[in-house]
Amino acid sequence: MQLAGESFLNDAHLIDRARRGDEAAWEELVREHQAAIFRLAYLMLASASDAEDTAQEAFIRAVRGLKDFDETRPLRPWLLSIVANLARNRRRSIGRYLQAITRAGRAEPEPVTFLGERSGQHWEAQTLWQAVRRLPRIDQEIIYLRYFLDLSESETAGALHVAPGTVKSRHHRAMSRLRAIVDTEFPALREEREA
Amino acid sequence: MKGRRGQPSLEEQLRAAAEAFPYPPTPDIARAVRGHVSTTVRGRARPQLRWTVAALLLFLLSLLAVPQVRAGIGALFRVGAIEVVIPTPLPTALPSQEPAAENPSPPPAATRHSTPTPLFSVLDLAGETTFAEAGRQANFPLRLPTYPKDLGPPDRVFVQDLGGPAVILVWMDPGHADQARISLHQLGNDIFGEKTVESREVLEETTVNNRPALWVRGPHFLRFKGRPDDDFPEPARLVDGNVLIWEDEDGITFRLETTASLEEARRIAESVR
Repeated sequence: MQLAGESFLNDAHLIDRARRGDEAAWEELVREHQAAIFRLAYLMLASASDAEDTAQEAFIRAVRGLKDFDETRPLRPWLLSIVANLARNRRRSIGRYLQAITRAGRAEPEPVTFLGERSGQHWEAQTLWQAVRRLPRIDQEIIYLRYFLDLSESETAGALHVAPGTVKSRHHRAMSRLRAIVDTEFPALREEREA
Repeated sequence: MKGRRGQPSLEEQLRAAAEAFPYPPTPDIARAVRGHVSTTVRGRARPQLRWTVAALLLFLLSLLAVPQVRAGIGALFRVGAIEVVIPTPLPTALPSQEPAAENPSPPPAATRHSTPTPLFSVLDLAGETTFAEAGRQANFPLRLPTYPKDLGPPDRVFVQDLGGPAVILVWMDPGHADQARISLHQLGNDIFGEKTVESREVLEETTVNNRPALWVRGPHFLRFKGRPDDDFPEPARLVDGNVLIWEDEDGITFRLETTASLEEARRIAESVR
């Protein structure tokens, strides 16, 4: 298991090599972070293919911006900020037109194929995600970063380009809204909690 | 953190959900982006992602197939949920000509060059309700301007479901019972709006509370769509007045329609609390 400090130093070393054109170093960085980047894109876009495209684009943007990246800061929040920005744009812009053409009639997220039996935990996770998706975008992002990607307050602040205090207040507000949505629209989730 | 009676809190439920979440398998992105370091470092990056090509191809095809998309060629600006486009060619007559058939039947008496916003352009909307009910339906806190001092609460309130709640507040012109003085749209971030303008000359970049804003002068068309599979379900609405568009730090897009000057509109916008 790699400690956070080791990971940070390793990233800094790999970034330095990647800046000098070392393909293998960049590939190692992408492999280290690709799951988190892809998952945030998936949570925001609810489409595996859109998430894959967006994650790819994020890494390409990142490598182009690597020369300006401050290596004294952790890499992951920076990568997450890039992918979040791309996902926001994709949701709002041409993606909407394309989706209208290529996926007419489908408003719900792509169904997820379970390899095993559908467990209660999977049902609860999916249902909770549906509840989160009812929140305003900014609230969704806070919850994805803090809970689904397990970022600290300061890492979340870095990913959203806001002060840690803003993360705290947005987090509080998002949770209040989510609680209200669960209580009114997803009573089964509340019952699950109370069972 | 435990909730009441030792039950797991919503925070714990979220953490458990995050651990159990059935993500699709992570694709091999490292392999897909291989080669971009060397091309970037050497300064000859040539993005060849399949999605770029596919997106471009589909977009071009859509231009041939879907009139609404055709209007997107001239996209100029986007502020929050609203994109401003110059259509090529214009999809329909602008207000300097005869009203287009897709407009929501403006009454013949409507003077398209009149100063106050004609009633039909705002008040023919569906979903009229009360301010309190609009607050309940919106998934964001509603805001009100505190300037001008004599404005008071809105006279008419509308809520429309455009893939997310859109709240429209209207203040009537005291001197013209059938005309609106100010209308303020508040749009959640799941909505997509498109403004069609005749030329770039009617646009002016400005700020509201130091955040980017756009001032659109004079007649233009406005239409909204919500969910990705919607195809602009609402007909375009003719807007005669000037419009200030901005997005607040919570991602809510505001659209202030008024016959006032830009300076006055900004003052109103910055008073929104």
